[in-house]
Amino acid sequence: METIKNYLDNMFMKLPATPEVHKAKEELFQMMEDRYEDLIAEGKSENEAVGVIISEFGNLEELAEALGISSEVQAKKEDTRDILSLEDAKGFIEESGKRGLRIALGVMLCILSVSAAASSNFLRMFMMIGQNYANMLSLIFMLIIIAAAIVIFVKGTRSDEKYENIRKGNCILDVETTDYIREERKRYEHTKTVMLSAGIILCIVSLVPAIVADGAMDFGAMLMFLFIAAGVFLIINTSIKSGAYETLLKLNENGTMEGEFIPGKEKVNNTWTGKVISVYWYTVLCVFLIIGFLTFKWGIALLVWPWGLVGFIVLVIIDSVLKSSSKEEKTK
Amino acid sequence: MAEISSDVIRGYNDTMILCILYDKPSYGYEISKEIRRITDSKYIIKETTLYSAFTRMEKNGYIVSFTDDVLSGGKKRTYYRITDEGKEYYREKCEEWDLTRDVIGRFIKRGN
Repeated sequence: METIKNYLDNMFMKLPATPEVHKAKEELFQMMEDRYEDLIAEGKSENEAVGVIISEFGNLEELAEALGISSEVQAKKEDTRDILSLEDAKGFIEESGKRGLRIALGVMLCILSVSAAASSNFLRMFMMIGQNYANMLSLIFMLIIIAAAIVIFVKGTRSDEKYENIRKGNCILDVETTDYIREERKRYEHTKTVMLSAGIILCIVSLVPAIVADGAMDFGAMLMFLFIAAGVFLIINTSIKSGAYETLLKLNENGTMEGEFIPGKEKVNNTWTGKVISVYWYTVLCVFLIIGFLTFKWGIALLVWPWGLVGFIVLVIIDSVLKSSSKEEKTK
Repeated sequence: MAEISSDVIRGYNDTMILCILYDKPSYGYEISKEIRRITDSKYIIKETTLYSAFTRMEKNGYIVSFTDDVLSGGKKRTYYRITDEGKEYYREKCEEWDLTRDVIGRFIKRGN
């Protein structure tokens, strides 16, 4: 039976990943499996059975007709779109990773420059130099950092023209590539979560020095922007990289009615709570900042966080309940 | 030994399938098995041909598909059922064949 499954996988590997193709593959597999069981019951050996089934299978041309007709009905666009090669998809992911790094670095440097501007008091104490020298030095640091940021931005944070097609959604993925990308995305999931959380925490923590170092406003501001810079770096970097996966997988969506056909069980975060959760902490952060800057009563603003945590826990519970109940429905 | 021309048979795959589905619904493999049995193994339909026919006929409204796991004792399977349009189409195809057989038959010499 394994042989038959491999045979089918192989046949379908280069076909576009559409719902029709998926359905065809399933039904054909079902037919072959039934036939296999019948032949075994008749007394044939495994090898014989497999041999018979494969030799009498038929060819893809007939299928292409059946599938081609359906897709014509659903979306004309599909006929004219090329299949994106696996190498190109990999290249796009790699390039996005590098691009994300560069953009994140650039933005981080910009924020750091503000930190540098506020660093004069710190430098004065730390290096024990006069006020004027300290001011000059912090200004120099700031300018150097801004220059570095400009260099990075000029050097290019735009994407290669080669991948214009992907951005415009002018191509489609075949089964093999889709599977590969989903696999990679799943593997990256863990890193992404860590980086995203760390980035957000850094941004939140950045407000601590601002509040604590009440007297030495400059010092507090410098540290605050330092943390924000680091946090933003992590957030941007990981967002762009993971965005690449989503962009690629969305390619199949443009044009077919069902979009990226995922067997029902895999559709995670489809619940409304899932979507709320993904923007939740950003919202809390915004609320916190707004309260803080409007009232300057940072002590009160800080209360947002424990309440935010409670709300978050409630959301997570609701979300997992919804997910498990929808899972039950789908696997029926 | 003579073999059926694939061009000819292609025109009547639908007819065969609809005949089998005329009285009760069935599923992929069972239909292909029936075709083999009825023709005494003189015609064995390929899985791809069969599936193409299903897709085409469903698009034309001659059959509908549904999944079921009760009928097959637990396994989730796709079944096909004939529609009224399908029955109409089947009758047309039967008439067409009768006509064809009549016309061509006049040119066929038996014996020798």
